[in-house]
Amino acid sequence: MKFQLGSSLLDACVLSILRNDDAYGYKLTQEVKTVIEVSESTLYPVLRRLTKDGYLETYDKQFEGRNRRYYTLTEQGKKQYQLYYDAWKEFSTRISNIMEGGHTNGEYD
Amino acid sequence: MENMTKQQYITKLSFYLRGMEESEYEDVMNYIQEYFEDAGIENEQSVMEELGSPQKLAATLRAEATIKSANNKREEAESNLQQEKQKNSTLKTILIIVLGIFALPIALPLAIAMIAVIFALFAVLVSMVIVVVVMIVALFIVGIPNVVHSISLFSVSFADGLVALGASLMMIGAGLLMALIVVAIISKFIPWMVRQLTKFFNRHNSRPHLNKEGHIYDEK
Repeated sequence: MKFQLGSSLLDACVLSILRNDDAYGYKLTQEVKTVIEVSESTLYPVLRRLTKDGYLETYDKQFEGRNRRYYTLTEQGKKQYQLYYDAWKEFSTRISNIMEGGHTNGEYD
Repeated sequence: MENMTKQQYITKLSFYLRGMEESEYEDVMNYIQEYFEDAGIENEQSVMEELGSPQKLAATLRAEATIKSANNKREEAESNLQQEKQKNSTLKTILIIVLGIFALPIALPLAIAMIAVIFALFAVLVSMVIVVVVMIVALFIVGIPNVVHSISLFSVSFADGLVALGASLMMIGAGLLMALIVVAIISKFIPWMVRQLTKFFNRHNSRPHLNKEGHIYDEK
């Protein structure tokens, strides 16, 4: 049973991953994929959008003679992460309550 | 999707992305290129599988770009429109006030003249009505006593009496006729005029009316 990840949830995950460490496109995608199923092509629009909205910044570093573009969180991005985190806590608690509250006590099992 | 090399994939992608804005295009191509390189040669095929066909990938990438730029353009246009509207309305108001002040020497006497004309017309109408009423009254005032008087004339001269009686009866008859005409006019004409006037003033409102069967319909 697979749950779909909406675009804001995807944004939240990307911001969160980048909180700990800067990352380049490929590495970021691999990390996201360990947690949720995403297609490679999904992530580029997300990164682009987050950058345009000012939550991410990019810089280039040389690696083995070629360019690597790294993504990093901006101050605004950190604040946005916090907003997402709070929203997620509230949302997931409510969902959990419904899911668990659906169980009656042992009698009707 | 038949097996193609990374280079073929990238070339095809570039083809499907043609027409994209220059900076956008560069960013995308750089990203994809980097991605392949980071994945390593051994992962090339799986990357291409995951990315999907160059055509589909291009469509996805375009969609994101188009939505964003369309939104930006729309927001820009909206804010421009707002600014224009604000500029226009204050300008218009100022203009109207200034023109109004300039027009006063002409507009004011003109308005007064118009009111005077309407008043005069009304006065004419009223006096016409008065004239008619007076005529009717006069005919009766003269005619009726004359009947009496003409009867007394009979004792003097039959012919004179007959003429006098005839004349006074004619006057009474004319008076009655005119009275009837006036009554008819009043009972038909005035309601009609009132209706025309209300229609004229309510032209711009659409009020619900009741037709004969008692159904509500809207007046167009």
